[in-house]
Amino acid sequence: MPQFGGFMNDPTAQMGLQMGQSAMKVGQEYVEQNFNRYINVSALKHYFNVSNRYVLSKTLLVLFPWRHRPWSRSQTNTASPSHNGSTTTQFLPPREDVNSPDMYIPLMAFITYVLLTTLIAGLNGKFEPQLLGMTFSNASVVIILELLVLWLGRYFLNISSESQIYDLVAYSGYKFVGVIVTIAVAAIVNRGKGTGGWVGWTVFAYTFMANAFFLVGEKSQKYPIQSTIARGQRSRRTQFLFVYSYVVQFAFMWWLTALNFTSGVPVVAGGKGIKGRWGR
Amino acid sequence: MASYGYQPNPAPQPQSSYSAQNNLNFYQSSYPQQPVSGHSTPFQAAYGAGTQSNAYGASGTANYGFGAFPAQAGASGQMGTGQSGLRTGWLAAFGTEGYEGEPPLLEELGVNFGHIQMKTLTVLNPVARIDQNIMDDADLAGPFLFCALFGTFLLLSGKLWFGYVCGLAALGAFSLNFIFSMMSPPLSQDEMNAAQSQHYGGSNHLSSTLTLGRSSSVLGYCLLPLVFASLLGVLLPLDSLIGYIVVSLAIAWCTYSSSAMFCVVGRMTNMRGLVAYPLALFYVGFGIMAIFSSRGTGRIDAMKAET
Repeated sequence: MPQFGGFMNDPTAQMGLQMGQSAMKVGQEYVEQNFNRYINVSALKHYFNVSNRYVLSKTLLVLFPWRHRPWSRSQTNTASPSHNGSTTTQFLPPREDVNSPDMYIPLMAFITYVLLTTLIAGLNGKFEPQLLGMTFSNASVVIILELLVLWLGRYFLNISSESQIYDLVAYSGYKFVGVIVTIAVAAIVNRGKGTGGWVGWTVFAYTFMANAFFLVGEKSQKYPIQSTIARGQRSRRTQFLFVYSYVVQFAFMWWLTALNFTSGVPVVAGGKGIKGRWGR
Repeated sequence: MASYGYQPNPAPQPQSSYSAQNNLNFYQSSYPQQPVSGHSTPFQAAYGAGTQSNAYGASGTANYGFGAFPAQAGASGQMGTGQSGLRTGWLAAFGTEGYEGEPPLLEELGVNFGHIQMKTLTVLNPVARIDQNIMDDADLAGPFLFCALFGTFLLLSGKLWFGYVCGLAALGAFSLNFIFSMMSPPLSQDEMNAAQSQHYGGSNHLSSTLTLGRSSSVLGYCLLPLVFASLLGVLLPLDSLIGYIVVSLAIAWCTYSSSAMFCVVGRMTNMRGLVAYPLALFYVGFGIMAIFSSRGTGRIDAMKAET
């Protein structure tokens, strides 16, 4: 067994070591508790509980939402762990319910978007590692802004549904799927010369409409338009939903697809009809 | 091992006579001689709880490190004067002997070349069966070596991107660990207790069998095919068709082996495709760096052509 040198065998030092170890353990537990307060780990696990079939069908759903019929999320009545005898309704995890939002697809789509734009920039000879960071920050800003819009809307319209912040984050990430498709198709067809041109705009318009339709379908379930609330408020809610799904998403998706990287600095392509010039 | 005045003592040994045998007790203990067994003081009792103290008392050489710990000789003279087992003399100072029973340096550092080799071969062999306990000692020596090699080969092909490699590796390790902890099935209570009581490198608060150490270890080991690809990139520019093919093959190989490892270590069965996609993205990041280093894009050749 290891025989350490002098000072470690001194009982005083030994006690000091033990005290240090226990102090570190206490500190670690403190950090853990606070960490768990900010990020509810078990709730997050629910969003990552996906299966292959779910991922495939959900991706197809985001891109082709036209014929999907039942938009409601399935619920189960499970026995509540805290109260004896009463049941609480919980939503089924994504594994068993196609309508349930997940965080796997949005997260993967986000990272794929960052890597794809960097790859295309590299294929045009404009690669530098800072691009990864810049694109990442750009996309993060988009997400944060969208969350802000959603949160404000929820606040002003008194929508007190049980939607949590995680659901909103999940839904805001689905547009990256459409953005990826737009960029990829445009890159292939235009040979990387940007998302301008009629092909780019057509694909963009299509994915935008698909995404908006998808969101309206999902959100109308989340913010249930019940008959008990006032008519005025109901129409306000529908307006908000409409504005959010179509207008706001249009702005964000356009922002995400229109980044150019001429001379190494991302510049948003200006106006409709101008070809994005990515080449040398 | 020549030790001055060392006598192999049987276990129960009066410490006082032990110190008396010692001729090299530089610093005489100023404390009165304590009674026989080493359990007279609370410190002694606590410290002597394990078998260590007896063995130490028996094998601790009487060789007292010169000038090292005078105060402690007094305070813990009970422990025997053979506290630090270093040999004295200028010849020993230039030698490599250390304390008695000290483990070799590599073992102390946790660098086990046998394990490193075994894990590397597991990665390189696409048809190897992966043992569930292969990642129980999640060392980072191999991964660090591979990342350093990757950076070096990138340097040899024209770009000083160690920082970016390091940043991407760290960011990827954190986020992939997070994702896979979320995706893996939650731990049962027994596993939680076992994990907490054993204190692997850091506690695991994400309720999974994956810790950050293990994730980083798996990711680093499976980077090896990309290291080969970057080595190839030193010789020929990777921004050509053959370069794309080679790097794509390397990425596929990395993803294949790392997804296998993660599925085994994280107990995520039937989810291999879902596990493989984030890993593929991670290695594509490295692949992009390998392809688009300046030698790869032919920029250097272009610059040469201009002059």
